[in-house]
Order: sequence, then structure tokens, then C-alpha cells
Amino acid sequence: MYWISTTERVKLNYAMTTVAAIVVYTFFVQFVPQKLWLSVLFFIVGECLKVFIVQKLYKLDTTNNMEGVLKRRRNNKVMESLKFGFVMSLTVFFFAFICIILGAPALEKYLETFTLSALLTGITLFPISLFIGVSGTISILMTESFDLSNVTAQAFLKLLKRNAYLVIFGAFIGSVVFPLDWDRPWQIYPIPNIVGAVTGQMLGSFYCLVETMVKHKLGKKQH
Amino acid sequence: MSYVKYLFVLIIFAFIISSGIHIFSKGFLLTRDSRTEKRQCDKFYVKLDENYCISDSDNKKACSNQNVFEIVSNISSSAENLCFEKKSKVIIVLIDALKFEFGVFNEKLNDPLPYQNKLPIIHELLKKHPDNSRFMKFIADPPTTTLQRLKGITTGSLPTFIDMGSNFATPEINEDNIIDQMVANNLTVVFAGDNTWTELFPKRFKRSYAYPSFNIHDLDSVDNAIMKILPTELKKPDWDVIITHFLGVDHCGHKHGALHHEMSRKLTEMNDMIKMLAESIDEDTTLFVFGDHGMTLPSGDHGGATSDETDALLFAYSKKKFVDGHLGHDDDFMQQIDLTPTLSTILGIPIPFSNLGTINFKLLPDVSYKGIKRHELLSMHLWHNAKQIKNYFSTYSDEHKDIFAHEDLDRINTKFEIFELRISTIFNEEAFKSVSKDLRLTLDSMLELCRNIWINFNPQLMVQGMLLSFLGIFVLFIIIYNIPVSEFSNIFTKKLLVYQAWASVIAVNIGYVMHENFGWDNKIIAALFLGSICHVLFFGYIIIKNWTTIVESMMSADKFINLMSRMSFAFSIAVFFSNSFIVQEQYILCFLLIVQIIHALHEYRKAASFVDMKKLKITGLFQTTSSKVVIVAIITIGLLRMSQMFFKCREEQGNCWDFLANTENVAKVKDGNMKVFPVIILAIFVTIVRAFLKANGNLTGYSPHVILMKFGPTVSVVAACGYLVLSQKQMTRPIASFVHLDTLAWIVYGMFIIELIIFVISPLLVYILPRRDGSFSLSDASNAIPELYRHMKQVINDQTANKSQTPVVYGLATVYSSVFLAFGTVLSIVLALLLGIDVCNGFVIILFVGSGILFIFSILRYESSSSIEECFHPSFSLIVTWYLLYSYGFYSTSHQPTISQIDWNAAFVGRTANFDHSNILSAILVLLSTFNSNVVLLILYPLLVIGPFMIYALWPNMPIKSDKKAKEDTALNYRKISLNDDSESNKDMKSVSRGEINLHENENIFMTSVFKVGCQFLLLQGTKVFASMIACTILCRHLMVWKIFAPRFIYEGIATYISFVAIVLGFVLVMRINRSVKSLINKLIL
Repeated sequence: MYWISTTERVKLNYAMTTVAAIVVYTFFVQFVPQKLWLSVLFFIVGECLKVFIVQKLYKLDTTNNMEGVLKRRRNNKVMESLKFGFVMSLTVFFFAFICIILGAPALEKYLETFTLSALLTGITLFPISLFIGVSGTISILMTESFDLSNVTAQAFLKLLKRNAYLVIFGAFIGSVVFPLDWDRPWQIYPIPNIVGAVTGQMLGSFYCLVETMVKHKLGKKQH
Repeated sequence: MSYVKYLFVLIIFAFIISSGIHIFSKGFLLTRDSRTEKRQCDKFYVKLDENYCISDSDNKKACSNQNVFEIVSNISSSAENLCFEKKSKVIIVLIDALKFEFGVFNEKLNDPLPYQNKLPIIHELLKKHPDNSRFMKFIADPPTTTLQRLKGITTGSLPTFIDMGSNFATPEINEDNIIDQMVANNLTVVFAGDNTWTELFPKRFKRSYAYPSFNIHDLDSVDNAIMKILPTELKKPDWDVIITHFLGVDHCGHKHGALHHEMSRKLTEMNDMIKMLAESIDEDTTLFVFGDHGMTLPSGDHGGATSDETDALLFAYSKKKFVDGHLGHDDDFMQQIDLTPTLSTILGIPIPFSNLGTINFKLLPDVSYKGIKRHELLSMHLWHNAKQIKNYFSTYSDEHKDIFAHEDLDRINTKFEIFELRISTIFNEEAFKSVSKDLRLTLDSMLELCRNIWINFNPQLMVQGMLLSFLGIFVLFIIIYNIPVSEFSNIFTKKLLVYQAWASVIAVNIGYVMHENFGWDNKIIAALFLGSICHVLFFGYIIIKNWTTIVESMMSADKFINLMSRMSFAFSIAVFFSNSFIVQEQYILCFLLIVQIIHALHEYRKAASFVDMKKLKITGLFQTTSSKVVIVAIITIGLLRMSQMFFKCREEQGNCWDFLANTENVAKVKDGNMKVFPVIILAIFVTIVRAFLKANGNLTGYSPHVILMKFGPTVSVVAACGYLVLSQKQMTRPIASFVHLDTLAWIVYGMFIIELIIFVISPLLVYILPRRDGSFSLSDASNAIPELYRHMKQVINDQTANKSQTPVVYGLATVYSSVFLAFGTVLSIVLALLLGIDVCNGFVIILFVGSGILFIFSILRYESSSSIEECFHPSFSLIVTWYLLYSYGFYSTSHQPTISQIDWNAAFVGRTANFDHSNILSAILVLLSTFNSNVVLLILYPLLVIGPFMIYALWPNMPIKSDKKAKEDTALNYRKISLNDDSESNKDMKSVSRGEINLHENENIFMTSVFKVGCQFLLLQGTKVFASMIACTILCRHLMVWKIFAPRFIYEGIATYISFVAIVLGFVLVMRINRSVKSLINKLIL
């Protein structure tokens, strides 16, 4: 019955939910500077749901090759969540730092910068951390040689990583419209970056959809 | 092996691209020499008894008893220099962007648009007093921007982009114009309105009420202010001319467009104003209401050449009658430049020297002088005008031989000889009409000739220029990127290059002699074109010969390498295609630079596995190479962000006053304290370089260059600092005598010249320790770098063991880079001096950022390279970063690519006491200070190749690669030390980097790499300027072409020339150093 492999199903599931979330997002998004935090909230909740659904349905095993090194203590939930919060806020500050050195006004638009970096964290590092835990995330950042032992989980992680790259790239490309002298309301600081980030995520999902379909077809031909 | 052929190839490529730029700019940049001659005329009075008086320009009155008839009967010789008395006073009401359609009244319209039927007063007056009012279309020459239009209206000439010879520093008009003529003829001029006028004509107006015109969103304040002043001014008896310039309509067009209800309000206000003026003027006054340009419907923009934008409105009203229409033009339109001679005639002043317009008789008040019939009077005016135009035309064509075709000149001269006869034989109004008509046709044809050379582009030259640049870039790209570096010495053979040189010399001569046969007007352009094409053909031959190699490497090339750098580069050249990107280019470049640095960090993380999780210790964290790289990167980025303090803004950025700094009416806001901080930074910079050289043992010994470097930079920087500090207040309150100040500057210049001379004689900064037998004191070694220290110990050990004769050389590990640093330092001090106290820190920041980038990328390259060839050749991303940095340096040293913001102060550094008026010297100084970063960073470009070796010579103990990787790399043998070939005894020094002696041992690879990097810079810079050319061609009818795109192209073109010179110089330096190193090593080995 399962003529689609689990890996493919996980990928398709994630891509579809992402596209669905963005479609829902387009219905009630308001690009008003005061209401941008709603987008952040939406995406954080969305990512939570997506990872939760994937975990619930497929119960991916997230043991990794750094197990011995990281000395994870799974039982201490409090410590783990504290660490989680700490790393996430550190990431937010890191993104804010990047925004500021790339030219965001340092002081007068700090709320906007904060919103943007929270959003970026929410759709890049946050789902990865939800999936493999904080320690795993750190080791991904620090070393190249982090692998999950489960093939499906590894594929999912790869998907998340690629999405994260695309999101950052999209936010980066979004800055293109700032110098234009069109005086449009959507040219105000964080909006193009947010749109770019969301577009990046969506492109990632579409790419994943197409890739999975093509690979599936090729795989069938070989058999 | 000689590397002169590489130098030759570099120069040829630079030549091809440069001649492309030159030819393109000849076709694109329309230039006109502005003539500074002022015309004068003799005042002519008729007394009651029909005798006349003539007062010449010195106001000496000479009355003769002769009848006026004497003058009138001999118009052809007399009229040229005669001015009549003032016919009436004049009120000029300039309503910015008053389009022709705004004044057309249509009673049948039931539902008028916001701009229609809002000026009923014009219609009323025309109906009521048809002889006292005139209404016509007022056609502007593009570009239809206010500044250019004002120049056109006041000088009567066609404005081009660059009026050569005019003063760039201020917008003040130095050509002959009606305002100057009014002042010279003792007429009182009062002005109210847009402050562009007071910038163009400072100190000309008796009373001026100028208001800033920047705020486009402000529709009313300027207009209201004028309206408040106008009634009181009208009542004052002393004025002859009142000029008002209303901005509301234009601003309304920009802000809301022509169809907004605000437009109807503004036009109604204007209507009321005209009504008030028409009622209040006296018998002796003529009122002119006109717009300087139109606007597009409905968006309300202007600047282009469509009829919407060029067709303005002109309305004239006087209580006296105007001259009958049938005597003048029958047309209901006039050129804007025709207003200049018309106004001159009304006011009785000479027509400005470079005017090209003709008098419109319909607008002259019908004033008669006793004893002169009307047709005689008009023909005198007409002849005055015609002679003036002829005079200007002849002067201009005498100066510029090739500009006008000979047939045209002959035709015009013949016609004028005929007119000279005809003008004196006019006996009635009918005859006048016929002569006037013919004369006008001739004058129009002259105007058309001028228009062709000053307003129309030359597409042929533009295409040829672009073609040449493209061919140069294309051939360079194919050769540089697709032929392996090791092949270079085989493909550029000496024989081929000699043939190439001779062939191109022949081609240049053919072009120069036979240019007409090929369809060129200009000898030099033909020579350049043919010469370059010849070179391109030869390179094409090289490509065809190596076709298999090229195709193979093209096929095997990875299509997606360097994606990020390529994107950065593509983005930096895409900037040329949008005006808002050009305006914000400084921020874009900064952004791209920081992105490049972050990306390099990312690459480094991949290459060197940032932190080894298994051995992570917090205490050791700050001693790892990675942490050093991160810290340097953060400092570099911080410096880049700081350098934004030195930005100068430009007009278009809004909320900007910097661009006015040159004009007088903006008081400079300066704090009273002297600025000392920048000087300290400069001193620190020099100290750091000295410390670096000293630590490397480059400051030991007594060779001339070493002695110079010991004292030179210090002396130089002290002199420069002295100059910078003292000259701050010199202008307001002299502190030292100018001669003393100049001496300080000349010390800096002199030091640079000495440096150059010594560089040619003996460039190396090394010291060969004299060989002694067994005993020498180790106390000297405190200066030597650690490796040499160890080396010396080794020597001592060896000496005690087997008395071998190993030479000891101080500074050998940085033998290449030290010379570059020394040269760069002395040059940098000169540039800092030229830049002045406010800006020199921006420059120093660029140097620091440059060294930071060098550090990061060197380590990255060292860590990621797997063979010595790879380590020799800088990555594309480093080259792009360096390129971005030197482009950015232009902005971070307070420059902007606008014509008015050239920093002329540099031309006077060290030359205030007795200015020698040498234009070449001034040009060199200004260019050096404007393109400082191009000069320094590109002369020092070989450092990019030397980089890793320099870094590892400085810190030989720097942890090198993680163990795992080191084991994998079998090709790491280039780290092994082998100063003498019998290096078996030095096994314990295996892990020590040998510094730049590696370069000498792989001399061939090194020089080829330097050559390739030079070519890559040529390629990047060439591509950039090519993009600029394409942008200018595509957008040559864009609104902003003269304000934004063309200046940007000019700056880029000049930057390209200078960059090419700097690249070639850099290569020459490397060649010189390499030769010295070679002879040094030979000496050591023998």
C-alpha cells in the first residue's frame, strides 16, 4: 500500500503544510509596522505545529553521531527548556546584530529589527531545535559533521537546513528594494525582508515538492 | 626569465578598454566651451533736434551735430555696437512648470480638469487689449530641468551637460548673460523666489529674497513669501527689472500630479497674482509671465524632451502697444532662447555674447525715437542680433576647427556678405519683412548646426566605444579564465607580442592618416579604434590557437562556484541601471562588503571546521586561529560601519546640505575647537606599520631604503599632521605664514619623491648580517622575527658543530610585502594630506579594513588550499571584495559622483603661497585625492598574492590546519624549509613557515599569479565601466541622465583610467622587487 517511501511522505507532508501555512498567512497578513509581531507569532506557532505533526505521524528517531560528545541529559526537562530559551534568544540577538551591521538603523528602529530577527529565528533555527534539540543545533552550527542515524530523520533535517538557508537568502535579497525612491508603504524597513524570508521558505517548499516528485518518478522507472 | 611581456599584455588590455571608454565618451558627453567674453555696446540717444549722442562703455558722452540719418543710412556698420535707450521697465514672473495648456481658455468646457481654465485673466486681457498682450507657446530645449532652463533663458545658449571652462565648484554662471549685462548697464534688478537664481547669480541683485527650493512637499511657503514682498517692491521707484520665480505649480506637479485639485488651487492663486500685477503696473512697464518648462500629464514630472515637457507658456502684457504682429514672426510660438535678445532689446543692453536666439518683435513695446522710422529701428535691432550671433559662431568655429563642416561655414559667410548689402537698403516695411524673413532662416540654420553638435548624441561613436570595450573584456575573460596559469608563459611569446606591437603601430598610423576614408571625423579616434581592433585580432589569434584548451576548461568548469561573489559583483554593476541605486550606492557598497566578509567567515567555517567539539576548552578559545579571524572580522565590520560617518550626501538623498557647502549662502557650521583626533589616528597608523616592519626585521641595517623607512614616514607624518592641524584655521585667522605651511606639505611630497627614487635604485628592506667567525652578539636579534632568531641560533649551533657558512638575513621572510608596505605608507600619507583633516580618517579606515580583509582571506586561502598553485592564487571572492573596497573608498572619503561636489581643495595643498597655475599639477592632485582608494589599493594589489605568506611569516607558530586535514594533505610540502638545498640538517624547522622566500622559489607561479590577478582587476573594472556605458545608452533620454547617470559614468570612466594606471604600476613594482630579490639570493648563494 505504501508505494511512497516514508522519507518522501515526510518531505511532502512538511512542504504541503508549509505552503498551506503561507496561503493561510496571505489571507490575514497586514503589513502595518505595528502589527508585524502577529506574523512572527503566526510563523512560530506554524513551525511548532508542523514539526509536531511530523513527529506525531512518523515518530522520527533523532539519535545522532555526536551522542557521546554532547552528553545529553534528556530527563532534565527544565534545564533543557531553559537552555532552549537561552539559545533562541541568543540567536535572535545574533540576527539582530547581523541586521544592524548590514545597515539597519541601530537605535531608532530596534523594535522592527527585533521583529525581523525573531521571525528569522522562528523559521530557521527554531524548527531545527524543536526537531533535534538544542545541543544538536549547536553542534550543527559549529561542525559540519553532524548526522542523524535515521535516514528519514536525516533527510528531514537536510530539508530544514536548506529551508533555513533559503529563508536567510530571501531576507537578504529583500533588501534590494530599499534604495528605490518609489515611496511605497511596503518599502518601510522590515517588510521587504519579511516578505523575502517568507518567499524563500515557500520556494524551498516548492523545490522540495518538485524534487520529491521527480525523484519518485525516476525511482519508479528504475524498478 | 623576463616578465616584461606580462606587463606589455596588461598595458595592451588597459589600452583597449580605455580607448573604448574614450570613444564612447566622445559620442555621449556633449561638451561646449563656455566663452567668457562680455559684450559691450555704445549707448545711443537721439536728441530733440534729431541729432544724436553716443556714450561709450566708459560713459563718456560724445554728442555730435550730425543727424540721426547718418547712423540710419549705414546700418550694416553702425548697428552692431549700438544699444538704444530702455524701452520700458520689465517684470518677469517665472512660474515653474507653467505648461502651455494651463493658459488655454476654452469657454465651452463644462467640466474642466483641475488644470484647465484656471487662468482666465490671460484670456480676458487678450480679448480686451489684443494689441497690448501676447500669448504664445514657449518651447524649451531639453533637458527641461530648472537649472538648465535658467541658464538657457539668461545666456541664450543651448545648455549641454558639461560647459567646459565653467567653474565646477559653484553653479555660478560665468558666461555672458542678461543679468550681468543689466548690472553692467546700471539697471537695478530685484529678485524674489527660488534660490537657484542667487546661486547662479550671486551678488547681482540689489535686493534679493531667495527661498530654498528643496522641499518638494511644500507648495506654498515660497509663493506666499513672494506675494508678500511683491506689492511693496512694486511701489518702490528704483527698480528697472523685477524677477520673481514661483515654485508652487512645479512642486504641486511633483507631489500630486497635474490632475489633483491642489493644482487648480495653485493655478487660481497664480491667476490672482497676474491679475494684480496687470492692474498695478504703470504705462512704462512690460509684464512677462512664463514657465521654464512644462510637465507630463498626469504625473507632473519633467526633464525629458517630449512636447508635454518642452512646451511652456509665455504671456506678455503692457499698457503700451506691442509692435505689430505682421512685422515680426507670424507664428504663435517662440524658442525660449529668443527671450534673451528680446529682453536685451527692451532694456537697451547688449545681447549676451553666446546668445543664439533671435529677437521676437511681437514682444517689443512700440517705442519710437525721433527721426528713426519703425522699419529702420527694427532692422537696426535685427542686425545687432545677427552680427552678435555671427560673431559668436565665428569665434567658436575658429577655436574648434573640426566642429563645423567647411561647406556650412562657407555658406553662412557668403550669406552674411549678401545680407550686409541688403540690410542697408531697406526702404519700407515690406522690404524689411522680406529681409527679416531670410535673415531669420539663416540664423535658424546656424542654431540647427549648433544644436546638432551640442544636443544630439553621436550614436556611431557610442556604439564603437561600447564595441571596443566589450571586445577587450570578452577576449580578456576568455584568455584569463580558460587557459591554465601555467600556460601563460607559453601563449604570450615575445615574438608574437613584437609582431603585435608593430602591427598596431601601423594600424594607428593608418587610422590617423586615412581617417576620412573610414568615415571618422576625428583623427585620434580613428587611430585609437584601429589600433585597438588590431590588438583584439591578435588576441583572437591566441584564442583560436589555444581553442582546444579553452573549450576543455570551459566544459570542465564548475558552473556554480563563487556564487556569492558573482552575485555581489553583478549587483555592484547593476547599480548603474537605476537612478535611486546610484544615489544610494554608498550604502549598497557597504552592504555588499559586509556580506562578503560574513560569507568569507562562513567559508572559513566550512574549510577549517570552526571549533573542534571534541577538544573544546573555553580557556583556549581565544588563542585559536578561528577566534582571531572572527575578532578581526568583527573589528573590520565595525570599522566599515564607522566609515559611514564620513559619507557626504548628495542633493537627491533628501535632507542634505553637503552639496551646498561650496556656495556662500550656507554658513558653515563648525565648532570652534581644532580637530586633533584625526591626526592622532594618522600617527597611530604610521606607528603600526613601522612596528610591523620592525618586528619583521625590515628596519635593520643601513641600506638607503631602510634608513628612509626608519625616519621617512615619521617625518612625513609629523609634517602632514602639522599641516592638517594648522591649515584648519588658516583661512580665517592666519596662524603661520603660508610659506611655512607650504613647506610642511612639500616635506611630505618630497619624502614621496625620495621614496620613488630609492625604490628605483634599491628597493629591498633587508640586512645581510656580515659573516663573522663564530662570534656575534645576540643582542641584535631583538629586532628579528622569531624564525630568524631561531635561524640564528641554528647558525650558531651549526657553527659550533661544523662551521658551515649559513648567511643570516634580516627581513627575508617579508622581503616582498615589506617594500609594498613601505611604499604604500609613504603614498598614503601624501593622500591623507590631500584629503584634509575632515576626511583623512575615512581613508585610514579603508586601509585598516583592507588589511583586515587581507588577513581573513589569507588565512581562509591557506586553510582551504590543497596545492601550492592554489595557495598562490587569490580566490575570486577576495578579488571581488578588494574591488568593492576600492569602489567604496571613494564614498568613505567624502566624495560623491556629482559634478558640483568635486573637492578642489586638494589642488591647493602646498601651493597657497605662490600658486604656479599649473593645471596639470592641480589635476593630478585633485584626481589623487578623489580616487585615493583606487590608487593605493590597486598599486598594492600584489599583496593579495603575497598575503598568506606574509601572515605566516609574521606568526609562524599559528596553528596550522586541524590534524586530520593535515594528514590528508600530502601536498603540504611547500611549508618545508629549504633555504639552502642541503636542508637535511634543518629537519626541526619543518613546521615553520618560510614566509615569502616561497614566492621566490616559485617565482614563475608567483609572477604569473600577480599578472592574472592584475588581469582580473582589469576585467572587473572594465566590466563595471562597460555596464555604466550600457546604462547611459539605454537611459540616454531618461529624466535624470544629466544629473545622475552621466556624472556617474564620468566618475567611473576616470576611475577606470586611474585604476588601470595603478594596476600597471603595481605590476612594475613587483617586477622591480623580484629582480632585486633574485640578485640578493644569487649573492647569498655564491
